[in-house]
Amino acid sequence: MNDNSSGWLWPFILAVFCALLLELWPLPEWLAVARPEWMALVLVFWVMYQPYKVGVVSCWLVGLLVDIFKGDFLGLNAIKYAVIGYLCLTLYQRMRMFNLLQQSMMVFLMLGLTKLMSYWWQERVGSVSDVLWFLLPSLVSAVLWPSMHHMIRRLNHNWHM
Amino acid sequence: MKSIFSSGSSIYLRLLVVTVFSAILILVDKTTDWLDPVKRAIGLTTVPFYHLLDIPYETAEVVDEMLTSRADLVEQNKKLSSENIILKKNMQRMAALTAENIRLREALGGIERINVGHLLTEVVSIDPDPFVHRTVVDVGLNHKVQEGWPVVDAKGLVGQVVEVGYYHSRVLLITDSTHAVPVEVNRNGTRAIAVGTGNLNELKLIYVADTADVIEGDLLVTSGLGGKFPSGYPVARVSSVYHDPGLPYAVVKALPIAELDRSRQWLILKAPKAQPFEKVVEPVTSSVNVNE
Repeated sequence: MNDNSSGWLWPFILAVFCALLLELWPLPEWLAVARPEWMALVLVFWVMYQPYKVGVVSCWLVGLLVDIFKGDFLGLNAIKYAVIGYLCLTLYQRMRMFNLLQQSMMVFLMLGLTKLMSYWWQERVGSVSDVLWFLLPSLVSAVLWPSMHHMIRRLNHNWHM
Repeated sequence: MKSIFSSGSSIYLRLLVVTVFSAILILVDKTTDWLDPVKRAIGLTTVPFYHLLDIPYETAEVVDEMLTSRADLVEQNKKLSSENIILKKNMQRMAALTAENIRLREALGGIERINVGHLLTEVVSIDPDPFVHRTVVDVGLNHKVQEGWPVVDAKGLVGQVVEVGYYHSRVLLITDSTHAVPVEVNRNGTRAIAVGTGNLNELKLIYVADTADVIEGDLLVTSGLGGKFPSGYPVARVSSVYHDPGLPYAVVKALPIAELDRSRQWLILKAPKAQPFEKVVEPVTSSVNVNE
């Protein structure tokens, strides 16, 4: 991918839109516990491959959008995605060298860490559950990372973006 | 020219700035309503989104309606008419009872209870986080919905409106772990507070004395204390009472009566705004200025 092309923007917006749909898609409760963090995965991918275009601030703005759609306090998801963006920016050169399994583990660490952080924030401002299930989405996301990585790369390649 | 290694200090600075921004936003959003107009305006874009997400369910409903067999319809019709007769029978006595109630209240010099209006709504979306029990319904400022209005379904209390947009509002269910509702035992009027547990099938009563007369199977109705919910709506049925000698209060669990995870049609009650308690006017004789 060429860092100077502007062809990245529309696929990025499309991916954010799809991730938003998937994040809000109604699921039965037993399945919703394991809902992958689609938006975080999309952001990790784009920061990794367009580090000069998608960074901390764009992640933060996407987070604000998610806050409004989910009806959370403004800023809760924003700060979480901003931290994901930051971690990715510091790690992307290493991540590109890794194989998919190692990348998955990095994804799990990053998402799990930010999940813990937002859990702490949520505890400050109100509601939390008292079980460790809240880390399950990070695990599921990590498992899904290789296939998703593959798919977006394939799509981008096919559309010459 | 860009260096291969992006400058670490700059992204660190950016993270710091957005973190401070987020913290301020969260605090302002939590403690004040200054951000509500902004959220409402941007929230407009979310409405088509929720309907888009609802399409599969609406299609399923339409298909279900089209494919219902005649036998099923006849059976349903029979059931509904028998239900109707029973309800009508109850209504006959209702008129007389209401009249009697009003007369008695007048005789006692009591205040007439206000018959609250209602608004039929449909659930269009539920919160994606399974630990947060919040739903989006399809009416908002366009129907003059106000924050704090209670929501019921055909069986009992569902929750209350916590956020109002132009065309949608958010309802916090009674089972959310941040929700509490003042209730009383229908049998004897014992007061308690029913708190959500984050589990759709469980409420817990807090601060119930070990000696309080609450038994399994008791119906809990809203007590009207606190002024948020009108009194007399069924909330839950006590499912277990446990006395632990090591705990200061009895552990009481209850099963919500409303079908929180099934029904799609809810009623928003147009509850009158709660009046704050009138200030007690001090007698003139007691207002002696101490400084003099």
